[in-house]
Amino acid sequence: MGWQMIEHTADAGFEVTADSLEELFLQAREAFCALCLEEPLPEESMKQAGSFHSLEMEALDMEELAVSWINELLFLLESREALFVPSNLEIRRNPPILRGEGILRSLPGVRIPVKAATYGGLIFREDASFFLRLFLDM
Amino acid sequence: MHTYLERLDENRLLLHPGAVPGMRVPGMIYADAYVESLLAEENALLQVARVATLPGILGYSFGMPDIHWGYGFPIGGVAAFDAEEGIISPGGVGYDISCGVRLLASRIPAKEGKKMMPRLVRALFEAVPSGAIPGGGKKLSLRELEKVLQKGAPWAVEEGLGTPEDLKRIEEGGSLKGALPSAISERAKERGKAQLGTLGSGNHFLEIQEVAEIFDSSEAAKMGIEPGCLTVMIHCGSRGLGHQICDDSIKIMRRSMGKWNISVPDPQLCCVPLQSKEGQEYLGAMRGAANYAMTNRQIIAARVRRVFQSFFPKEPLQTVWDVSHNLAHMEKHSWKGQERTLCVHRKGATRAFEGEPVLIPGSMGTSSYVLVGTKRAEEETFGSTCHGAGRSMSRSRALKETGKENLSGQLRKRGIEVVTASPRTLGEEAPRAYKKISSVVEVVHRGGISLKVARLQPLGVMKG
Repeated sequence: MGWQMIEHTADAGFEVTADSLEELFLQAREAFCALCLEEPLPEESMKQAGSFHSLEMEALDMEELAVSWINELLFLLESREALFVPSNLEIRRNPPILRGEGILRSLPGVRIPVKAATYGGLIFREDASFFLRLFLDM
Repeated sequence: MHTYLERLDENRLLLHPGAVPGMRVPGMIYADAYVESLLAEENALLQVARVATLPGILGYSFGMPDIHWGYGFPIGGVAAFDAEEGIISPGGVGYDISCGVRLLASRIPAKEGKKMMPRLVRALFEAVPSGAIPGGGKKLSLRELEKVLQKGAPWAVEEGLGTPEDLKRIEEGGSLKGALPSAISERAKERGKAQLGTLGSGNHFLEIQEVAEIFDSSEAAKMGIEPGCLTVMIHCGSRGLGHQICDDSIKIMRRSMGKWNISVPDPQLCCVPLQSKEGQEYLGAMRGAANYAMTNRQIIAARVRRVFQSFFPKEPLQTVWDVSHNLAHMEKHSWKGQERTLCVHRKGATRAFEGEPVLIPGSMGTSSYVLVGTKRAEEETFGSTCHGAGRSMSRSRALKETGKENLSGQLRKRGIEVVTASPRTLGEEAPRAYKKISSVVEVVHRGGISLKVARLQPLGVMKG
């Protein structure tokens, strides 16, 4: 269980495996952070106070929910210069809905090499565990 | 997939229908043996075949010699659709709508420029916001942004950033008619408001070059390109605004495709009839993003000029050409003896109409090329050619292979000064991660879909 980067000629991608949907989306966030942030943020800095933030999103299917989740994180980084650190994440499948609460951890001047999460080669699968493969336009 | 490939001549491969179910037309890939050898490693051929399944596609699903694996369409992909019966697809344009290249030329002898290159590159780095830093650009009100989306580069000229002469040397005069700011989401506008005049990250760059070789002196003279003089190349696009428009449009089209019983083999190829409300709204939003991108390059050019003026007060920088390589254009083409209006999608491909300049940036540390479009391109490829070297290695592999190499030191030894805020970008964009630009350009030159005019050798590079 966890995430790993996968090869793409022009861009970048990751695969995540998890026991629950919530863990799947949290792990996808970790992979996104690893691609976005040149230096990993120290664990301690994540606990620093930030402003409260909540979000809710609906999607056509689980694939779209995963893309929307990563693109929401990207939007917050770009427009608010802040990383969303969730304290609570709830995901439902029918219909696909994500609800999250947490803090916006300020990251002024952060450089963002990612343009967007894409639908190209996107896979969401549920069998014994949950699996997500997602590519990002860099 | 490769069993469906047939070599037609030294520059072209035909991908026969049947490579994937439902191909309406064959694929045509401009590739010599070198480019073909790189095709074996990835999914780009599959993407050419899948594009060929889209409703209303005419002629061929094209792959240019810089072809590589993209999203939906391959990078280096071209497809034309009938204006009445065809579709429009955001996957045929890409996230960075109207990403493109502007070339500025000077009469400054390169030997004078070389003396001050480290200072010059550093000054550009300070004057032009780089990376994907939030903000850093010209801050706009919503009203001003909507003017940019509607007007394009002429808005910047009205603001004193450039001259009317610039506009004559930008495709479509720097302004695509029919932009629909009302079809652009508030979120896209929010992302666009603070990023105008910024370069962006990844493969976006600003480069000072020397005109190292002239292949066609008559065309070079027409374009104002002089041997041994400095040029400046700017490569960037529509930033977060374009990325958001693409994402928004994919969501809309995935929900509405069913109305026309359209099914696609890859969600990134989602599309709707061009004449539908959804199709027209995407077209209008995309045009707004193109106007934003051309304004972005106009403002960056103004900043570059200011820096150059402080170093070379008597030598102005003239615009040679500005062209997008991620766009869908409504164009008139001859099709089976009749003039038809077509929607030509070029994703990582450049328009190459007869007599129009074509700008082909190389990878960091390698030459870039200026070419000219041809009648043959209009007849064979709906007036299209390649857009760059095209990657041949993933970013992670490039980083692994360059490891602890001192890339900027190596480039400096070769007379190329590099500045970047991100050492990671430098490794990811290492020259070895790209195809040989000279081979890519030779394919389109020999194939006659654009002809070589000049080779530009890098002297100073600023990476986003």
